[in-house]
Amino acid sequence: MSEDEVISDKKKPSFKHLGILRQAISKAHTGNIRYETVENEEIKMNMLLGNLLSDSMTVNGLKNFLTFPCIGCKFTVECAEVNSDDVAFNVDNTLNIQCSGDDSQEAAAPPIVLTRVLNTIHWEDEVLIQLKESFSQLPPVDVKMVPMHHYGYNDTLTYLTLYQASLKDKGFTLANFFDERPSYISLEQQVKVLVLGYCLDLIKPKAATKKTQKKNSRRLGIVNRILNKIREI
Amino acid sequence: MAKDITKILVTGPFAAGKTTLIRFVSSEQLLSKDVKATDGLARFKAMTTVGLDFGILHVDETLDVHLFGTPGQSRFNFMWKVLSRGALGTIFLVDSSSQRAIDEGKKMYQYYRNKADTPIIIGATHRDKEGAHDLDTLADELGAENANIIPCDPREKEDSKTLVLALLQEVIESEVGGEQEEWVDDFELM
Repeated sequence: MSEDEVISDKKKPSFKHLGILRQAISKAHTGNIRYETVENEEIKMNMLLGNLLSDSMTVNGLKNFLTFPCIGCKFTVECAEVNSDDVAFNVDNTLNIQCSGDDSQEAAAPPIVLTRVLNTIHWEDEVLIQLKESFSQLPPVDVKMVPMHHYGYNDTLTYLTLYQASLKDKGFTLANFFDERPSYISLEQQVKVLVLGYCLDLIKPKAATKKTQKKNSRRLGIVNRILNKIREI
Repeated sequence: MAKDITKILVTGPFAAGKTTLIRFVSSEQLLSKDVKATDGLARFKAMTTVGLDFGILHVDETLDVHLFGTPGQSRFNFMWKVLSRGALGTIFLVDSSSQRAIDEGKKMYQYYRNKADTPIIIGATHRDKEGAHDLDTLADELGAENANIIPCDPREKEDSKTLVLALLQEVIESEVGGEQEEWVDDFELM
């Protein structure tokens, strides 16, 4: 059993806890996320191979998790040896789970639970501003394109806007994204796609991408030169 | 010094915007022969490309990108294989408002997906027209469920650039995709 944990300043609750969800999804962890709300209520969400389960406790917990800043949060791996072959989705989108000895960490499904919850939540203005400021402070990022229309997320246009903006600017930051918000997209729509992209690890710091690319230098060097040229046209 | 030359393919069924896209991203356009459409396509499009579109993007003194556009009619399919050989990747454009183009596009898309071992990005054009399919439906009809589809209007220069940039990003990801990605712990929200 292992644990990842973030603790915020009790006087200033934060959205640091989204990092725990991001890590659990990206690393296809199985276990549960427990977090403490500002009202000192402890809430638990269950995950299997990086997918949030669709039980009501998890769904309600996720709504709260995404909507409000919190004080403390930890992820506990309870059953690390679940094989995706042992996972089956029922008709009602719940999961059948059997633990086995295989250590495969393959993800079982697109993040439907996360996108469904994101489709429905709203933030108070004050919280929106807090999220905007948090995202604005992140270093330059790369944004990854995925077929979002299959994830059940209902605002692919805003995600595409983010993706396109990131492609065109080598030093793209999320502060740029907010600064260049078109009139037909609201701040809340922008924040939602950032929460989605951040939690799914589709938004990555540029430095991390560059480190990986160094290993394939010649061909990637050519591609990067073309990228820079196209940006200048 | 010898120049490196690399190739990008722009393909898709008729009237999708291939010629326009190549025009926008090329430093010089060398070949493009538009003739009056005379077959069943004439009621969809007055002029159509025969032969091929060809443009060159001069990246710098040592690198050129050759952009090849395939003719959109299936009777020219003998050219698909020749043109796709050695390409960095393929931009696949399809008129998302035309059922006929989508049906034609399905065969072409399946060909490129199965035969060409390079990344493909799909550009869904004519989004402003009545009857344009949503991206989910378009993906299903093309048999491209896991592909990235970007809505675009190749008449807009920025949209044309976006498609090429998106393709190049796919190329990068396909190159580094098999490796363990760097995990950055301090990428945290405050």
